[in-house]
Amino acid sequence: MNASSATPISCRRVGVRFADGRDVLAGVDLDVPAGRSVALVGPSGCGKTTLLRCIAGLQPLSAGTIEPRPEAVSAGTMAYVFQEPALLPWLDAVHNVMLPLDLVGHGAASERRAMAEHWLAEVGFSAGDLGKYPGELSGGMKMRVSLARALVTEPAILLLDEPFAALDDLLRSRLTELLLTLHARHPRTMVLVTHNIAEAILVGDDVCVFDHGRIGSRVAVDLPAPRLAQARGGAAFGRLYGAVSDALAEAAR
Amino acid sequence: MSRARIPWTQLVVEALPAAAVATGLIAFWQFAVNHWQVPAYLLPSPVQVATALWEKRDVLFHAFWVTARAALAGLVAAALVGMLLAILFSQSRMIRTAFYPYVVFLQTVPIVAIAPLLITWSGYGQRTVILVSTIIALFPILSNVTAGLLALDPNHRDLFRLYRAGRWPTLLRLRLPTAMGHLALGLRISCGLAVIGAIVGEFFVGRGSDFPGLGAVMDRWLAMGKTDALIAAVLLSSLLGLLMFAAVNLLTDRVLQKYVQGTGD
Repeated sequence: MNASSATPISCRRVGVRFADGRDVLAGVDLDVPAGRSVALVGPSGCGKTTLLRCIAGLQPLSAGTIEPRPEAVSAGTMAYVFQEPALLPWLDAVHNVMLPLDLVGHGAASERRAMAEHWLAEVGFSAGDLGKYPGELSGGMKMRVSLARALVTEPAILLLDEPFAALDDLLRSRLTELLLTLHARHPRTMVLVTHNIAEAILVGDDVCVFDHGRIGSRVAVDLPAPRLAQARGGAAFGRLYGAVSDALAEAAR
Repeated sequence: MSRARIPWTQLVVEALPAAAVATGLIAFWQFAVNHWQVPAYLLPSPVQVATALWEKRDVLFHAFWVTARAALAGLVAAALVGMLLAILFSQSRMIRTAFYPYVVFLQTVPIVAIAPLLITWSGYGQRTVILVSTIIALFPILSNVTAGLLALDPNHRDLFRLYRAGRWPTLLRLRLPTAMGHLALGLRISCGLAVIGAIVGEFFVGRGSDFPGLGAVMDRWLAMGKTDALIAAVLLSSLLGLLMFAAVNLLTDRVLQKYVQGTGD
């Protein structure tokens, strides 16, 4: 599967009303230029994940438009990393990663396997563990497999829904670094939902703060790339952290 | 990763209390029959039962084999029919709501009430015995597999939607593997029921023929007052149920392990 060229995302007045009559999203406008990354932060239940699901085509819109329309792009153009690794317990690591290729009917089995092994190597998964089942893997290893599964179709758009939230700080930091390294090596349009301000600043070119179903403020991250975890100690990082914190506090009122 | 094997010495130690209880019960049974001079047609002693088991071993073991085949065939048929119906039910809420009540109805009708009807339709033969066994064993498999096919992890369901997997790939790659653990549970419940169904079927079939199954010979020995041979046949029936349960456990542990625990062992 050839690397898809990065695709911009454009959300216009996106609204989602749940069956109970609650407006989870109320006129969200969001632009993510091709190859750039945006981090969405905000209080719990503010609609971040719902917007991500709308972009992926997993949640129907009540109002507004999103480009690209999921049904208008080929399967595999978008990838989604869930909060949990969501691996199929009956498949070993390499077959879990092959699954998207199997589902979109890409190439011969040997080619699919080679691609899966390549992406597992890219995320730092040991070759000796390819045949291990999810029940035999640690939380961090499972998340690496989940990341490789998302990347194996070489998607133009990568959507991440708090992918490292369940991991300890050290592992979370390592996987954030891995994500940054992979993004630098294979740029793609990326939207990250997170509760972690530091993670949002490290990954996002912009940090959007949700405020009651809308994007309340957008903080441009002007840290030089690659922004590995060392950037956390700098004054610029501290300034950005303060700006996002203030916007979050405002949104929580 | 290999599952930790339990050493046989530990198995022996764990089986000791149950074996001690069995020994105690048999000893008390022998003592009670001798002490209170209980007539053999009411309750023969363990020694008399063992003697009957030995003397009628040819009839009993042939009957055991006939019933085992019928119960196994009934279980396999129940598994196949149950899975096919469950797949059908999982495809549409309308199909489920239209047909599921009749499956429950079939489950609630006493099998002894419909067994004579089944004989009328299917004759005095092994086919009817297998049919009764299948009907009794069907419901746990059907209800468990239907529940399993519908109990998808929301993230897995979203993953398949994201890659636009159609109905068949979703069924084959997600729904059926997800339901394997439920199938294992259904099989464990149904294997005992299949044996009960075969024996009940043989009771009825045996009344109109010289059918050689355990249920049929039990019915004949009951009428002849051969309580010692009857108890020997009951013990063999229990042994058959235990063997079926052990075989199903072994099979599900070996074949379905990775679907349940994700260890591939």
